[in-house]
This record gives sequence, C-alpha cells and structure tokens, in this order.
Amino acid sequence: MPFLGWVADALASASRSLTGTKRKARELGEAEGERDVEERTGAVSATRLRLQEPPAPAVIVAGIPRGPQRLEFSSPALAAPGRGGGAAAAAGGPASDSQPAAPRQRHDQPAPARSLDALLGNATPHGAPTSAGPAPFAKRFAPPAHPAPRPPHAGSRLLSGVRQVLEAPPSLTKMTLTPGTQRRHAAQPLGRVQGLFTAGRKADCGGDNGSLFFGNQQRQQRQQRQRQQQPLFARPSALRGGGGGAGVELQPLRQRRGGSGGSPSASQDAALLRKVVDYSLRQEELHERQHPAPPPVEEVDLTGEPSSSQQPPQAQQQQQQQQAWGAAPAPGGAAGLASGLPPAMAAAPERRFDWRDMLRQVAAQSESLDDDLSSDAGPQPLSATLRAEAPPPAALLNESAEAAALARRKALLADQQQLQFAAQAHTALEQSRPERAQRLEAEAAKIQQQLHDLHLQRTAAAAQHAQRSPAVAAAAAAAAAAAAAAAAEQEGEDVVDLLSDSEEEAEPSTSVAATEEVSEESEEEEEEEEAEVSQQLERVGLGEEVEGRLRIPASWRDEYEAALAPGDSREFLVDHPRSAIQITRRDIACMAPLQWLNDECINLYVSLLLERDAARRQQGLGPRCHFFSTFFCNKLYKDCGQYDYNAVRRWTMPKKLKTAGQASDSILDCDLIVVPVHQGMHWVCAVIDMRRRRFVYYDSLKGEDRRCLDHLAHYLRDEYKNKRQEQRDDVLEWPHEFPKKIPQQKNGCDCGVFTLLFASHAGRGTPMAFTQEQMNDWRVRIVHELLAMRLVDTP
Amino acid sequence: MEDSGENNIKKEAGGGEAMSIKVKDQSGGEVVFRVKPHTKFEKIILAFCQKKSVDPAQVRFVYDGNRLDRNSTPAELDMEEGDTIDAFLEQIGGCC
Repeated sequence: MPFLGWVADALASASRSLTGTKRKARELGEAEGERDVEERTGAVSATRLRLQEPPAPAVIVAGIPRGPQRLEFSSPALAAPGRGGGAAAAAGGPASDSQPAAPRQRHDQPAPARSLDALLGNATPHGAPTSAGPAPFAKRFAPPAHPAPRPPHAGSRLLSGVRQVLEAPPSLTKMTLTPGTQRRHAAQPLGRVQGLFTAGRKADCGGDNGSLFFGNQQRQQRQQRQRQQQPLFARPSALRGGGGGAGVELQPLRQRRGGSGGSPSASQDAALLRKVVDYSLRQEELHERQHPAPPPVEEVDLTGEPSSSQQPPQAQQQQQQQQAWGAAPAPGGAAGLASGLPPAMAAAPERRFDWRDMLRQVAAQSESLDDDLSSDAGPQPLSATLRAEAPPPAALLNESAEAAALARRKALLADQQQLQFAAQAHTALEQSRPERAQRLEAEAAKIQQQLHDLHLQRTAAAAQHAQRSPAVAAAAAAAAAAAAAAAAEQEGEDVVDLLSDSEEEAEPSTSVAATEEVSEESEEEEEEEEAEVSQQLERVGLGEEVEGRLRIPASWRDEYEAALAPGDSREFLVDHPRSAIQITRRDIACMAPLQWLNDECINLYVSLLLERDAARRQQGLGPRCHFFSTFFCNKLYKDCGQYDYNAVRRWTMPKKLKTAGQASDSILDCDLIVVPVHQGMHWVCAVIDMRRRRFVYYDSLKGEDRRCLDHLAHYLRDEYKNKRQEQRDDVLEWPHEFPKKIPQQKNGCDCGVFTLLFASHAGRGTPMAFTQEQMNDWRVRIVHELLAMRLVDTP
Repeated sequence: MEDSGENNIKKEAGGGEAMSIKVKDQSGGEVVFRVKPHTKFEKIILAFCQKKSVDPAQVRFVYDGNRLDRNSTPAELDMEEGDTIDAFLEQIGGCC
C-alpha cells in the first residue's frame, strides 16, 4: 500500500522534527516546561496520576481526530485544553510557545499520533482544524520552524488518505496504523489498537524519551506477541472497554500488561479452564437454590381435533415456552441446545466421514510400502552376488519378505479399489440409482473376495518361495563349489587335486544341507507367524487389545465407514426394540473421530450393557449391575434445580426395571449401580459400589463433582426407604472417591467414549485398561456394537 | 343397560375414554394432552414438538426411565390418568 508509505514518511519526519525541538528544549531549560505541565495537570489530581504514567491511552484517542466528545470522556486534562495548550496557543501563538511545551508533552503523551494530527493541520491548505478540542494541540505541536514534509498536494492526498483510514471501520484503521502486525490482529476493535499504541509508547518512555513508536516496532511486536500468548479467557475483559472511552480502556490494559511480564504457561490455562468449570458448576448450584417457578400448565386435547379451541393463546404460549426452554432450537437446527453448545459444535453434525480421506490413507500406506520395496530393491543385486558365492540365509529371507511385501501391496491396491468402488456405490446411492449402486457394491464385494484370496495366496506364495529357494541355493552352491574346484585345479598339484575332489564332493552336500536347514527355518518361522496371526485373530474376535493397540477386524471398519458415510441423516441405522431407541445416521455421525457423543449412542450402549449384564448373570458371572440412562441425574436433581427423589421413584419399580432389561427386581440387589452423567458439555460416569460401600466418580478429566455423589447417596438412602422400608442413613457416610489413576482423555472430544468404557469395564469388574491412543479404535468397536445391538464381550 | 351397552360399543370402537397425559419438559413446563388410550404416542410427540417448536429428532421422551416407543400407546404401557412423560433435549458432550 503506497499510502502506508506516506504515513510512515510523515511520521518519521515528525519524529525528526520533534527530536530537534526536544534538544532545543533541553537547552532552554526544562523548568518552564515542568511548570507548564504542572499547570495543565493540576486541575484534577486523578488526571495527574494518569499523566505521570507516560502512556495514557486517552491521548491516543485525542491524537485521532474522532471529534471532541471523545476527548471529553477520555481525559479531563485534555478535555480542558484552556489550561494548557489552549491558553498557550491563545497567548503566544504556536511560534513562541511550542518550544518549551513540546518536549514535556512528548514526554507525557504519545507524540506521534498527535504530531500526525498537527502535521495534517499544517500540511493541508484548506483543512485547518475547527473544533475547539484538538485544534490547539495541533497548532502547538506543529513545529513552525519545520515546514510540512510534503508539498501541499501530497499533503492533501495524505490527509484524505488518513481521514479515510480514521473514518474507516476499526479493524481497517488498525490494520493501517500497525502495518507490522495487521495480520495478527485482523479483526479487533479500535480499543485494541489503542492498547497497542499504549504499549509501544510505554516501552519507549521507559527507555528513550525521544524515540517514537515507529523506531520501536520490534519491541512493540514483542509485547504484542506476549499479549497474544495470554490465556484466551483474559481477552474478553481486556477488549470490553474497546468501544468505550479511554478511561474504561485503561484498567484492563494495566491488568493485561501486568500479566504479560512472565510468559503464561499451560498451567495457567488449565487453572483458568478449571475456573470456568467451577463457575458453571456454581451456576448450577445457584440455579438449584433459586428453585425457578414452573411455567403454567397447558392443555391440549388430542382426542378430537387437536388444540383447535386453543388456537389464539397458542402462539403466545409458544413464545413463553421457547423462552422457558432456554435457547429454543429452531426446527431442524442442530445447534442452540439448552446445554450450551459451543459454536464449534454447531456445524459438527454436518461433518461426515470422507471417503477421500480413507483413500488418501490407503494411498499413503501403499506409498510407504513402495518406499519399503525400493529400499529392499537396493540390496537385491548384492544378495544375488552373495548367493553366487555362498547362500546366506538372510538372502532367502529377504526374498520371501519381498514376495510378502508385494502381496501386501497388491492387497492394499485391491483395498483401494474396493474403497473406490464402495465410494462410488455410495455416491450412486445418493443419486438414487439403485441398479448402478448395486452393481458397484457387487464389484466391491468381489474385490473384497479377491482381497481375501490374495491374503491366502500371500502365505501360499511365501511358502512356495521358501520351498523353491533351496533348489536355487543348491544350484548356486554347486556353481560356487565348481568355481572353487576350478581355482584349486589351477594350482595343479596332486594332493591338491585329491583335496579338490574331496571338496567337490563335500561342498555341495553341506551347502544343500545348509539351505535345507534354512528352508526349514523359514518354514518354521512361517508356521510361527501363522500361529501368531491365528492367535491374534482369536483375540480380535474378543476385540481385546494387542500390544497396546486395539485389534479391529476389517469388517468392523467397513461397517464404521458405511455408517459414517454421507446419506439421509434421518435414516434409522439401528432400531433397538427393548430400549425403543432408534439411532439415525445423524446420531451415529457423532461416533466419528473427534466428535462429541450424544445421549442416543450412550443410552443405547447403556441398554446393551444391561443386556450383557443379564447374559453374564446367566453364566454366573458378576458383578450384578444396573445401568441408568443419562437422563437419570437430570431428573434426580439437575433439571428441577433441586434434589427430588419422587421424580425418579417410579424408575426402579420392578416392572420398569424389567422393561429396561434389568434382571433383578430391585437395583438394591445389584453390586454396582452405574450412572452416566451429563455435565453440561462433559460426560462422566458415577458408580455406586454397593459391595465396597462407596461412591466413585470416574471423570476422564479428573474432575470432582461432590454434589453429584451427594445426591446419589441421598437417592440410595431414599431408595432403601421407599423400596425396602429400611432406614439406611449409613449410606450417607460412605466415602466418595474421585480416582485419578484412571485413563485420561488428552483431547476435548473423547469423554463420551471414556464414559462408556468406564461403565463397561466397571460393569465387567475389569481394570480400566484403555488409553487415549486407542480411542478411535474403540469408536469403531462401539459403532460395531451399536449396529449389531450386542456388545462384543457379551457371553 | 342401554348406557352401558353404548359405553361398551364406544370402548371397542374408539379405544375407551379420553385420559390426560402430561408431558413435562426440562424447565418444568407441562403440557397436558387429552388422548384416548389407544392413541399412538407419535401423535403426542409430534403435537408437543410442534407446540415447542423443536425438532422431534432432538427431543427424547421418557416414561418412568424408559424411552417411549412412538408406536406404542398409553394402554400398552398401562398408563393412568395424569401420568407424566418427561421430555429431554438432546445431550451432547465431549469435554469442558
């Protein structure tokens, strides 16, 4: 932008002129200037305080000709120009007065912006400031000895440019005024810019009085960088004053600067995060204490014509209800839930699994395989030459490894093809062309079959190769022996001849023996490998982890991808009759990596956990568990704002428990009562351990909600009282545990999966053996379980 | 005799007398629906969602801890006069 250059030039020349005047002022004596300042700032003590701090942001506001009303609000000293600049200008005019006053001014207040103003005043042939506020400053700061740095026409262009900038929206203004940092602060209000200027000036005043912010861009940028590193949560407060007067701006700025001394660390962020969580919990508690009055009851008659008589008040009621439901989501809108959906989540359900990603992954895999192959190809000639001399077992192994790698590559390519066909099938389905889709799917299935065959071929080929290689090796060994014999013959001695004869006989036999050994070894290895694979497959059948990674069969991944593929979001993928939960494509989309889980997936999983529990009990396996749905805590205490046993009293009646899938007639017969809890935006798992007599709160973020466990304790007491007529006040004394040595989530999206796994592992009585790294695999497995409506570990 | 006979006919034909069923949302607001015992819950659900201007896909209806099957009826669940169905908005969570 050439315009930026103009501004820079203008300011640089202004700085030159001001340093000149400063030197003069020093010579002339500072006392006069000091008195001048005293006079000016003496009016209001608070003002003096502010002026003693070199960079009052108000001044920058003054520097920008935004109108006098802004000056009034920003600083009393500036709002009363009559005491200082105004009087000076009136008494002696700019020529006589400006020299002593200017240096002090510059010391106290950021000169560049003001001098820009002054410069404008000087440079314009027509644009003399008319307003009473900024005009005197402009005059006083216009150094009369130095003419305008530009010819008039350039000045007027500059003026119009600067005006354009100053009258432009804040963000644009900022961009122009801080060219070095425009990218980083692209969309921040003017108040932010003021802050930047202030910081720059502060730094300058701390060191060299005369240097301008233009010469200190580096330092300024450093400070900005520091500020950028500040915790996110500090920013809103810092920006709050941005639109208002400078007096408002000043306070947050100071706070912010104080904080920027040391670079903020992750621990600070974590502390702030914790504060935010605590705050939300406090809000909930507050809400609990306030007991909001329930909205009026409405009546609708669905027996005849539904709600025909109540048409007029309906709209009004609808509005009321919308308010009562919090941010009532518009029909079809995914966002705006009462739970307070973060903005990032608003578009989340739209995010679908992308076939292209999968293809890319496969391509990357095959590429890496290619690399392997090419690196393998290097030693190949070497091994061939080696073999000619004496066949080392490594060469043979290398060869079979190559064959295996080739087979793997073929398999991957086939996989890729299959994926492509599947993707095409899905797009075709989308375009509602069933025949083509079917054909493509058939092709995909065929390729899958081929893939399977290839897999079989691979082992067969490797075995064949191992069998074939002894012959080759033997031939090579014979050749080598012949060569050795020929070399020995060349020596031409009888004894040697005899020796060579014996060698000729001996060598091939040993070499053959060696190769046979090698082939046996390789076969043994193959067998071992196969045994290992079959073992792994067995373990895969159970879905258990192998070497820290969960083994997921390819079919599960196919299911997963198909379920997450784009399609009709209302299409039912699962219809679980017992729980009456229907999982749509939209619901299952939340099982994609990095997506937040919704209640449907968790509640269906809970239902499957209940079925697993019933099956385990039939096999005599413990512990006996009950799993509540995620709405239990909402009904128990969250929604109505206070603990209310009666709201859930009927939930555990024998008939209802039977409907839910609970094998016992009472949850009090169980060993564990598992409650998945929805904590606003977080999923946790609370467990009532009836055997060990304690309440445990499994939080993958190490949170502690004592209130939740308190309510559960009261619930248990009331449940004993209601269902068993037992007064069990001792349950209130049971310890509350918040275990910390449990798997922790390392991102901001997997807590739902962790919660399900806490519930599943607790319900099985196994240690919590899973890690963050396995989460995507667990998601695949959970989708498989949801689609199959049966948990993998159901006996 | 004639009255009881008429009632019997009515029960067989229309599914019995109308009963009121409450649907309670999470803020405590209640809407009472007058329905016949053999009316499918789907009708109640859709009427409620229309009334509240919410997407039916985002509301869960729970009766005594168990999800409401849209195709079942109050009679199938042995519901009585004045029973309450709870309506919950979709819950979603990943972290804090």
